Amino acid sequence: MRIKILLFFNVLMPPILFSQNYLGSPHLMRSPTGLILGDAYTARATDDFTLFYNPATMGRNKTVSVNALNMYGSLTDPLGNSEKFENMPSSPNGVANRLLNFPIHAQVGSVPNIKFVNFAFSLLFNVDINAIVTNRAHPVLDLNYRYDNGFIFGAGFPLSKDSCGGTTMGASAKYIKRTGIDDRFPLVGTRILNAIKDDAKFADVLRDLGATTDKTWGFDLGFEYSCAKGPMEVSTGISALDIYTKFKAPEGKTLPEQPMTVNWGMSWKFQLPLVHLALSADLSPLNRALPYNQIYHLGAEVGTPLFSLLAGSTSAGLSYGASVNIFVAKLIGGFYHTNVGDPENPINEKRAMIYLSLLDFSFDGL
Amino acid sequence: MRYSNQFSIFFFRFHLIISILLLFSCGLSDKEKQKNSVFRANQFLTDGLCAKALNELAKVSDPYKDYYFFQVKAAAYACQSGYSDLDFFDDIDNFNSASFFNSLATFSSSSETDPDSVSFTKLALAIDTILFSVSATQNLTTDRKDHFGNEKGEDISFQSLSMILVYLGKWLYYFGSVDSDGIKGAGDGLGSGKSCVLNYPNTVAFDALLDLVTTESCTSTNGDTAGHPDLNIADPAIGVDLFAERTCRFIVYVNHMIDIISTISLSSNDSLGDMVNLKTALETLSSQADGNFEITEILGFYEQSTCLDYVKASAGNQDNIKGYFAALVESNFL
Repeated sequence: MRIKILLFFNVLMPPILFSQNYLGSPHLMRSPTGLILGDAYTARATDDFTLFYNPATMGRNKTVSVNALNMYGSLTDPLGNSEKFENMPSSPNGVANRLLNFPIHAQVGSVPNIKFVNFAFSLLFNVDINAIVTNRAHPVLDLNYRYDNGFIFGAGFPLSKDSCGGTTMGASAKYIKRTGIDDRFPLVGTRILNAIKDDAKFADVLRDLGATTDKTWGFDLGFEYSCAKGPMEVSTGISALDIYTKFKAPEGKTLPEQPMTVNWGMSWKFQLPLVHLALSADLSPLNRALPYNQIYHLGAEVGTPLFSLLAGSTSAGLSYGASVNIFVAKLIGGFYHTNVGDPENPINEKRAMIYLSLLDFSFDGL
Repeated sequence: MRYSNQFSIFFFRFHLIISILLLFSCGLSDKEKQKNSVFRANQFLTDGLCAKALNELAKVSDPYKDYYFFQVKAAAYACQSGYSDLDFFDDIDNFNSASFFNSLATFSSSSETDPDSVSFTKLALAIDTILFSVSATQNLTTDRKDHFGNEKGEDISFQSLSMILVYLGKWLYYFGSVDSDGIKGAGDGLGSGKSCVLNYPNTVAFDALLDLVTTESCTSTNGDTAGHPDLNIADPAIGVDLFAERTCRFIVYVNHMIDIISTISLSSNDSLGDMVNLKTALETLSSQADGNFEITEILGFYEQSTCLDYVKASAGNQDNIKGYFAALVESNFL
């Protein structure tokens, strides 16, 4: 049955080309912890972002938790690229030459959520902007901007049980309003020159460049097997996210697509009262025509209940960071690499990321 | 032991599913491969790899409505010619619509010493890639807007406009033998000291036409010695063929420049300098370029082949071409 379902997804859905210009993530949302763990997180996403990785993970949740106030942000590594912004030339020619082939990324968002044993509900706010200027003869600006707001809810249910755990199945539904643009503009062209007027605000420029809005429903499905015995826990899961989450843009406008992604992950965790160690690996996205070496994700975490060190590896490079838990607050910070542009000849980008969660309550023992 | 067995069985099942999934994964469709080729070619141009970009674009077999394909292909040829939008953007700041032929000749990219140089020929290829992106025959800005959509049609037409202006600057620099201030005949090239671009027959009609502008030193009284030697139709080394090739290239691009300027919506953005006033200046010139010669037909040449056929057809047509240059160029290129 499971094979039939997965083959159904695979046959129906062509390999994804997730963006006009290969900027922006193919995923709706990523966990800050996950990103620092190389995004090897499908089989161990038990934080605020569970529904964005695998709803089946809710099948093994035994807590009630509320995370009412959280916020994350990420930015193209400002420290590693400071030389790009020193003695900036005054001419447009000089600025464009300096920033040619330099990816720019900025993201902020929040996912206030509540989990009640096997059920979860989360609000979603996310602003993500990615841009790059390429082509020396006829410079073009690739722009991928999206502002998402909406909600997602889902649940996980046991399918079978064994002595140490069992198999769960999960599903979630989401409703998203997206405002965005995903297009390429010649820097010396009528669209850019007509949009950038004196006293024009950022929102006006985006509107004149063709930003548009649409709302849609989306659905996710996942399976997971987990087994906990003594201090050790292993799990493996597969999820099909954003099954037919389709945004429509009017003629002549573009909106970042939300493609379906099929993701597989596995994790191993060793936990004692004062120390824990976790290793994880993902292949994601599986439904994209990419070689293995571009879809692997590896992650490792070692720490105590108050402090953890995180590290990860992907084809884009290493990621590293730390996490601090103090009572009802949690702070995560780190750096990660990602690839943008042509998958066969990608441009590597290093990003800095921070996440702060306040009023994080959890009740065990249900 | 039991723990590991259970996990092993489950892991094996998942691994089997994943393997099947990957085995049945479809490759990229032809359309997606073509999109990737255009994307990759654009990336090559970032690194200045013009030939590699063109090789990558050669893999695209059906670019019919692909706006990006034509944009990138034109940029690849432009790259080979040494053209850059960024240089153009710097130059346009000093553009003056009141003396725009002289302005164009002073662009930093205008300095040319060979009428058949790569920078001339490849730039013409780049321009033609866009001008003939809709079909192999006459394409106007409205055709590109209908074909690619209003905004993208304007954008790609503007791309060709900027290259046309640079091409005309090179043409005027070389055949006008200008100095660093853009003064005709004051340069030190092959046409140094020549007061005209072309040679004009010493007739009453040409005298009258050239006398329209009293400040113009170009007259028909010097006969075959007034113009640039590389446009001397009487010289066997030039002949009708080269005369037609060189003058027609100028005429066709000026006509497309007028078509694009009068069709697209040009912003009042300061960065465009005085270019927003070019439309009015061109309309004034077009109305002036009429009189004793039948040049209305010439103002409608949008294809090189049409113009070449016209010039080669008769001596009378060649006189009409000279009439066009006398009225439109000499009187406004001092």
